[in-house]
Amino acid sequence: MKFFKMLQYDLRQSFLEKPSKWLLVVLLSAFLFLRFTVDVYQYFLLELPGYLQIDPLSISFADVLLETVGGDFPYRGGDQQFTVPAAWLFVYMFCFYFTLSYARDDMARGGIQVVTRVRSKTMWWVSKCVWNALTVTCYFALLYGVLFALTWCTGKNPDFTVNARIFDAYFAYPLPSLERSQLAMCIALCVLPWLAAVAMSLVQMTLLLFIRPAFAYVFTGMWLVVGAYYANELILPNYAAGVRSITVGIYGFRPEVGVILSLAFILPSVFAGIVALRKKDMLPVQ
Amino acid sequence: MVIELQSVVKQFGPDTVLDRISLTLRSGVVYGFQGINGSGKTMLMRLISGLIYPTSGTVLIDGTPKTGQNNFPESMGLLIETPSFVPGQTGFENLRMLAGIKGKISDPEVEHALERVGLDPHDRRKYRKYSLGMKQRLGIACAIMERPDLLILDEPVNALDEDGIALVKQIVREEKERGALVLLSCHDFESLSEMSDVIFRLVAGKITRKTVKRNGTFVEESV
Amino acid sequence: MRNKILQNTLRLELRKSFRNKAFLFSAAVGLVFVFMSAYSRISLEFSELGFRAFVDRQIEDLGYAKYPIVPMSTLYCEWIGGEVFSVAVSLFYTLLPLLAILPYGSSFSEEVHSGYIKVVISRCGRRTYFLSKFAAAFVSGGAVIVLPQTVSLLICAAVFPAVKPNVIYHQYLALHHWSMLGRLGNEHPLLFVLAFLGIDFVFAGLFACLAISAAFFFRSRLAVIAVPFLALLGSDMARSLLGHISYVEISPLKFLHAIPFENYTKTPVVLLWLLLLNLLTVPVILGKGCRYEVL
Repeated sequence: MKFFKMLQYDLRQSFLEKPSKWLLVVLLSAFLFLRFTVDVYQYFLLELPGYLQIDPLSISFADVLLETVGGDFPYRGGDQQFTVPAAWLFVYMFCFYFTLSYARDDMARGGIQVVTRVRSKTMWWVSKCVWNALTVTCYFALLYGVLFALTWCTGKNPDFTVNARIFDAYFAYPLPSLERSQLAMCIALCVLPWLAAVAMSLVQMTLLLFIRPAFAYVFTGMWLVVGAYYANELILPNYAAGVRSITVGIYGFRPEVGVILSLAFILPSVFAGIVALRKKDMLPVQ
Repeated sequence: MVIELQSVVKQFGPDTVLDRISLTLRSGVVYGFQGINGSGKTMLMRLISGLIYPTSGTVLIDGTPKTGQNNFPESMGLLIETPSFVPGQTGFENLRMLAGIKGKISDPEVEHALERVGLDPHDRRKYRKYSLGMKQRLGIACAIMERPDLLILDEPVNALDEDGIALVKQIVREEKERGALVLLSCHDFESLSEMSDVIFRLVAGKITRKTVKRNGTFVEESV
Repeated sequence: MRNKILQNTLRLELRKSFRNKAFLFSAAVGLVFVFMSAYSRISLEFSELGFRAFVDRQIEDLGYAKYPIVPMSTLYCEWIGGEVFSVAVSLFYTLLPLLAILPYGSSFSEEVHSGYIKVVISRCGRRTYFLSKFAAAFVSGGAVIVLPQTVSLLICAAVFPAVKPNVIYHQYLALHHWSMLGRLGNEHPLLFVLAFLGIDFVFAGLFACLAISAAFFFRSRLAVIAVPFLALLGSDMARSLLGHISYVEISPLKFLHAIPFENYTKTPVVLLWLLLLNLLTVPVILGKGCRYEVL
């Protein structure tokens, strides 16, 4: 009962404190969709000769997701240049900004009052972890929701069938012809990126117990860029890039490994926080 | 030094925190401000110090209106609310760094200011390790070290023990004798009446009462 | 007396901006990226793989050597501002605004929150305070970026010859004559590098000042650090709105790299950004600062 009271306190503090920040997520989604539409329009409807132009109605929600938040290929070596996928990086860094400092600030302010009443730092920390996961979930739900709504409202297919020509144009790589189930694509493009984000956000929050928020934020940024660069099953951000999923077929990042790796970061983060708080003073931040 | 406030009003949106305050303050006198929380004492001190601007009315220092961005009195020592310094430096290092801005005093004078408030100038502890009382003393030392013409002390006896309070009373006396214009606020009326020559009472941003010390007792005068 | 106070305050702020942990952290992170980049380029140079194998790979992939000439390594293509291959380059230039802001960008916000601003501003005045804050943030922000770049240049200069790049190499320098300072880069590459160090110093300094500016609008200290970074990342993201209309680089995260990553760097774009950053910093910090109320 106390735990739910505490969680209620956290949710109220952070969700209702500045509700306008969720509007920014909506605007971000809309901007990403606009960007995608402009790109497709320019390339297919302006650049290509008539017979090669694409039917806008054949564009799907999967295409929107892949090209907005699906990330990009890693560094392929040789004479290939590598650039960080800015939109993908922005989406995640913006998400991590949402969860960046609430826990630390709460420790110094009202949280002290709450902890002395529930008499459990563990409960306080677990509540923060749940709050963190819920915030990331809301962020992605809103992001995907707006993208889905815009996809549907603009007459595109609200499903997960990837358009090979758009894929080829965006990634300069042919889409392998594979059977892709809608569920598998949904997991690759929606579920795994969300889960990876939850894990990274929890790691960031745990780091806040030891280092300043700005440094924790830089660490998360670096982690994302390293993940964008290196295709490695053990680097978590790879699972946040839907284009690298085994379902798409070019890289072999399996969803089950992604889930296990995410949990491998989530659970230790929670426990590390519990252990660290046992020894930590709850003092105002200097 | 003479500071004059002419019908000064300060508003934050719809809230009037200072309401047509008119005062004349002179050097060599200790002025105390008394009132409940939220009556406007600290706001008035901020306004006189130049930290905030009046919404209307004029503040004159020695007959010259304070305008523009350089509206801080030339020679001022300030302690408003909780003092704050660089956490990773000692008290002496903090004060020396601040004294270096105007360059009017040297290290021995900084040390003397610390000794006056009962702190050890050679204490190697960083500011972050100071207790609340020590922080308060350091704040007072910072305010008095440059021997300012205007000394503003908002709640100077906060967090101080009996010895500390006695020290503050002595410092205020010494500063007055030096000829400084001292502005004080204090919740403890006994301490305030002991230190002040004139006490203004504020209610809801207005000065409602002025009492002047004559022969050891306070006599009410018109505001 | 005013000048003396200005000098003293400036000296104080500069000292604070350089002697803090955040400056050391940013510089250390930058140096780590520099060493990573240098290691990847130097190890490639001295390895059995490398450009000799590059020709072999072409024969393997294409059946013939489309580019049979093995390009000569030169300092100007191997320092962190010249090479485009390692993860360190991506990390450095993507996180450049954050690294520039960290040392002193949030100092104004922190001093307001702690109340320290009262004891300083009452001594030196608003104009002096904000002028000094601006200058210190600018210099420390610029220095923390240019310092690792200079180290990169020196490390690579110890290994690679400073040979003028030759345009017959197909992938050598994507520095076309119509790109900003393109002619200089192809004819006097050292001057080109020094020019870019100067440009990077100015931009990094202005990024740090953006954070000071942001403190007038955002109460949160984190917003002051994160918002300028996210805004610049957003400009990187917005690049694709230009799509196939124009191949000009509009993102500072890309055009601050001496050799263009994808698109051409154009002087008007750089100047526009300079103007924009100045408009977002100078009038805000010095203009609003002169009327700033310390509450």
